[in-house]
Amino acid sequence: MRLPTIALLCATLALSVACATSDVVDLQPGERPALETDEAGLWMYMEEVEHNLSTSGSIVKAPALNQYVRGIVCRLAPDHCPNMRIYVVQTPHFNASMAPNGYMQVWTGLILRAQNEAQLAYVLGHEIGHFLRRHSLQLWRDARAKSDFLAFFTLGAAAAGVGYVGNLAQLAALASIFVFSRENEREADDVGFRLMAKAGYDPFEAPKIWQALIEERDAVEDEDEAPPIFFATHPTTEERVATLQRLAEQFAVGRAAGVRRQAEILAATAPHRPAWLRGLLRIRNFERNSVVIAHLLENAANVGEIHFFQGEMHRLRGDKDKEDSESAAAAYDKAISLGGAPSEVHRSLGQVYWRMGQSAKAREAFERYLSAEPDAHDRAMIEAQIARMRKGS
Amino acid sequence: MWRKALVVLACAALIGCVKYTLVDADRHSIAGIYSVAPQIEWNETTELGVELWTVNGSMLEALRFISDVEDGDIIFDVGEEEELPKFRAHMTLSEIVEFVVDSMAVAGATNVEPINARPARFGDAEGIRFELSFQSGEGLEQDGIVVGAVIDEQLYLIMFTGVRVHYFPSYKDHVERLIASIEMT
Repeated sequence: MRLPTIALLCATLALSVACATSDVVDLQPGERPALETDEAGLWMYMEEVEHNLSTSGSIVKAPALNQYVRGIVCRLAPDHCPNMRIYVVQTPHFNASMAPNGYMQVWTGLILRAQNEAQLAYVLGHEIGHFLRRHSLQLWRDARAKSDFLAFFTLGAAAAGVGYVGNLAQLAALASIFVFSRENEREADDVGFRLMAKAGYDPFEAPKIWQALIEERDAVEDEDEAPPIFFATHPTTEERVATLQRLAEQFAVGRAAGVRRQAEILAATAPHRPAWLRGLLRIRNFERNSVVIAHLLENAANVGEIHFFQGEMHRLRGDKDKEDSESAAAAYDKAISLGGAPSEVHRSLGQVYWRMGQSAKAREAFERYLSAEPDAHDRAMIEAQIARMRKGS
Repeated sequence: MWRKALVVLACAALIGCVKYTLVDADRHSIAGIYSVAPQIEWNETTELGVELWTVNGSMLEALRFISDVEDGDIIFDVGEEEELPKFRAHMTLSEIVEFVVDSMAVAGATNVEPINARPARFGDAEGIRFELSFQSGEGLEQDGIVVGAVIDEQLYLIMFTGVRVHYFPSYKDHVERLIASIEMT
């Protein structure tokens, strides 16, 4: 968004909020705010932000995946579904958010971590809860009351971005515009739980996705390096787990068990999982990534592929001692024996053998890579590496 | 990570806080290790800790000189250093390509694809070269050229990126001649 446009919107909103009241009722299906209200100004601003997001290079355009995620949203909130736009955003972090004008961001880091559709449905239901209860409008009015609404819009200005640098920061900015209060978060948790349970999902899956995040947080050895899972204003994750567990136990009394739909989410994500895992490993947080990969291995979907990425994680950590190289080689061997890994597994195996000083095995692995991938983008480089090994041997 | 990156974004959005100095067409020393003939006049600045030359602005085309990268160093300072890809002196040539691609992706480029990675001369040194195709954060299609070498266990890269329509092709030949002019000092 161009800065003059932002300034104009700020001015418009500042004027329009003067006559606003703080009474907020639930959003009705198809409802649009009246033009003279502060809420209309907020929607107008968010439409610009949405336009920027929709043209971002991070949007996953795959129709089948988008249809799948949209299907979940529509099962959760069928009456509001026609007025919602869903954007699947390729970024390895765990997040989703919903803007007041009805667009939702679903980050691939969240979808990757959801062990079944029920878990994903709970988080999407939580975001729908913020939307239905108009929490962002409350937030905007609170911000205005504290005279810090410019901070609200500065994030949007920063989200305009520069060059190819800062796209993740843009996404974070867009998602963090709405830092809800603890009460709002509790309410959204409650709405999300009720929506997923009503849609027939297993309610006991709701606390499990937060539990998995606790495992990731606790896996980081240095507490100073373990970022908080949520903003400090949110309820603690432990509190959320306990509350959702209690709600699930109450809901389950006298009812048939809900569905998890694990096979469905695995099928929908299978074509994208390699790219998402590659993205995850670009964040070199070995401890947290280990937890995510361990959960994926438990899911038993294309285990060979997951073992390949487990090997990649060890190779990329690349400690100088041999432990990581040996762990990587073992994971690659497992991936090859199980099948389902990309042909890069042979190149990666060659790289760790080379690092371990086993040049004959390295050469053999590189040759297998070139044979499996004759048009490899780095063919000339690998051939040079093989030639260097031949000269050295 | 986000706070630092947001400050960079906000500053760049306001433009006023980005300072440029003129690079004239005379031979120019890079990190005291090598020199290049710039071919044309460029505007020089520093972005995310990297020396950057541009004619029309870094969103449109950027020639980056990444120098003195030691074992354990990052190349784009976007914060949260412990989570960023780090150069390792023991990397194979393919792993250096992967390191550059991962560093760009973490800095915000999307769909980064290396093309035709191959051994190539970097001045007198044995080095690497590959081309790039990617999208900027805003979804603009971009192309790139990367050349580099490891000299005394330190990585040196020249990276040229530009918008596929007009900007990359407009300056590509100048950059090719600049790369061909590398002389070790």
